[in-house]
Amino acid sequence: MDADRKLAQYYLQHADGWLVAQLDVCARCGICAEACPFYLGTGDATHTPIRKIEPLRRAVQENLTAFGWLRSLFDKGGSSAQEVSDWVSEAYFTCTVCNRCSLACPMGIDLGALIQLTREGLAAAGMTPHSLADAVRRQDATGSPLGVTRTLFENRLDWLRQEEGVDLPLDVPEVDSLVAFTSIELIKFPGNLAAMAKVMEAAGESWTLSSTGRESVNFATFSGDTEEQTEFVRRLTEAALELGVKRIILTECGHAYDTVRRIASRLYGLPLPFEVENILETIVRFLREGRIRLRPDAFAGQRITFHDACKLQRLGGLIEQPREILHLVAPETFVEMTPNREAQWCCGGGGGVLASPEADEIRMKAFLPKVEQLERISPDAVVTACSTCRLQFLDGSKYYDMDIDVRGITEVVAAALETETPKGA
Amino acid sequence: MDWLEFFRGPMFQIALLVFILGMVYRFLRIVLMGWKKDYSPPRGSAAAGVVKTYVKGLGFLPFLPPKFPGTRHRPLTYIAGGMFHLGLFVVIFLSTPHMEAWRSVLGFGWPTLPTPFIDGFAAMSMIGMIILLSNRIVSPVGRMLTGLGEWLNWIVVFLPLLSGWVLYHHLFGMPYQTIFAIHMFTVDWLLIWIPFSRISHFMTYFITRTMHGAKFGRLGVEP
Repeated sequence: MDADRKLAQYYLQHADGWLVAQLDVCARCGICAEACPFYLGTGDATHTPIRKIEPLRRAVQENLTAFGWLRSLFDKGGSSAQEVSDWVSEAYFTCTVCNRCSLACPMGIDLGALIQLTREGLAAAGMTPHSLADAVRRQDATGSPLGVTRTLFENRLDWLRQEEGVDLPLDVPEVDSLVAFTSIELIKFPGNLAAMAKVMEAAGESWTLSSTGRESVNFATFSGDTEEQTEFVRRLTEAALELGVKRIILTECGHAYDTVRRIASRLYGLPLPFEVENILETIVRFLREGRIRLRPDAFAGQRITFHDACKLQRLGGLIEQPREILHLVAPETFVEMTPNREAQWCCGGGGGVLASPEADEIRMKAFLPKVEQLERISPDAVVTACSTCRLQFLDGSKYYDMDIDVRGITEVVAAALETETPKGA
Repeated sequence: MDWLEFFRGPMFQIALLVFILGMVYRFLRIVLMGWKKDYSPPRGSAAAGVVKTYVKGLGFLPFLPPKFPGTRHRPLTYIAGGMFHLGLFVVIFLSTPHMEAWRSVLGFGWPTLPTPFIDGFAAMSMIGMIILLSNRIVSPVGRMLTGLGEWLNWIVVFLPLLSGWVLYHHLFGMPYQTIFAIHMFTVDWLLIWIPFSRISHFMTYFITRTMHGAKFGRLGVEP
């Protein structure tokens, strides 16, 4: 099989000391399984995280170890079509690259990065699932994986301006901040954008949106297409450079924060010509500078909990910011799920899983640890800072018939702004 | 030259040489192949992350599994792993006969623990190993991840522990010389086997743990 060889070739080209050490050190203990929501939700051993990197492990073992070489004398190898389709589904449909396994591994194996590398190889060999490959192509052609063209983007902003009465400046040069949001928010959670605009206005921030750097989502991160990944980040960073802003503010999206920071520093080196900030950092900055104040009674009597997103908290380190915010708006009633922070259970929807119809059934099973966590504290609302988590929570709470409100943190902040009339609800 | 002399003399020296050369090769391969630097703007200290990951990884996790709730269903795997490794470490470095063996190789010695303690640690280590093996047989995840290599590794590590135990307790009425020779043979075989197997993780562990701590420390996340 030709694609098969391409796959192995990609891994060998990218094999370095890091990869060899990661694969050498694994004691095959299986503790990573216990950390994985897909394993726990299904009880199926085949979803053990270390097994999701099978094509990568095999390529290295067959080509870079003594036993592999010995074996290749007798067994010419090759993989069956069944094996290949299994690799694809394990790498893309049963993993959100949430990195929980990386933290649970007693050896400190960076499983998240290994699974990402596995996906990159599969993408290079043309094995990306159609749903994701199509979304990447759509993002390349239209600027958004959901097909939000520039015209549609501008129409939608107009609608928001009218509907919500908010100021949404577009392509204004020399302001402090360029805000980039996700088309998921534009289509599905426009309330988040209105809330973001209200917070910006209340804080007196000078900011703009961009018609060229308008998408923070990067579907190539999910598919593992490194070229397109860089291209999508470049669109955003070039808009920032053209507008001459000091910083890029990314709204409620998990992977954008990590992707933009990582790729931008590869493109421009450190220090970056602009700061990259997540909306959580922005809100905390406004609070610390005294530019906004939040009412402590905004959600009186409502039990509110926070869901840590894998890319923002576990992989982004934005762990205390949301807590600082929620302790202000719900000082009496903020409750933590257990476990939380870097050990938080993943929602099961990120990493492109939510965008793959093939994974629809299993992602609801992966939501089960979450259901258990929520049932233990029975909150009125769960707040997240990631739109993918939010979608997954909406689907999951419906599927499991849970009476729970799912909110974006920017909306929560906007509703608690001192100048606003209380919304309660 | 009898068997005992052979296994503790020339054979031991050959085994030691294979072990050292093999491990140096493994180490150099990783270092010389190098790794990509993380260029993203740091959110925390990589060095602090490394320190934390060792405190947690060596002192904490193996014995207090609930610290990271990834282990809630089978804390035993974690605890057994901790028992086995701690026991093995104590037996290899803190028993008098083994320290003497080290002294003959290194040229210096150190204080050791009284024999009954060592005996307890050896027992703990073997019990840990038996639990780990049972897990490999009983749990579906364990079964899936266990191949011929894992069985061989288990046997190669277990035999020196077992033969040392028999030697110390004079079990089965075997002549001292014979069982000592068997013990030395299993040790030689272990030394030769390590560089070719996953048991070499005793060295790679420190590389991956350091990388892990540095990465998450830099991200501003508790590793």
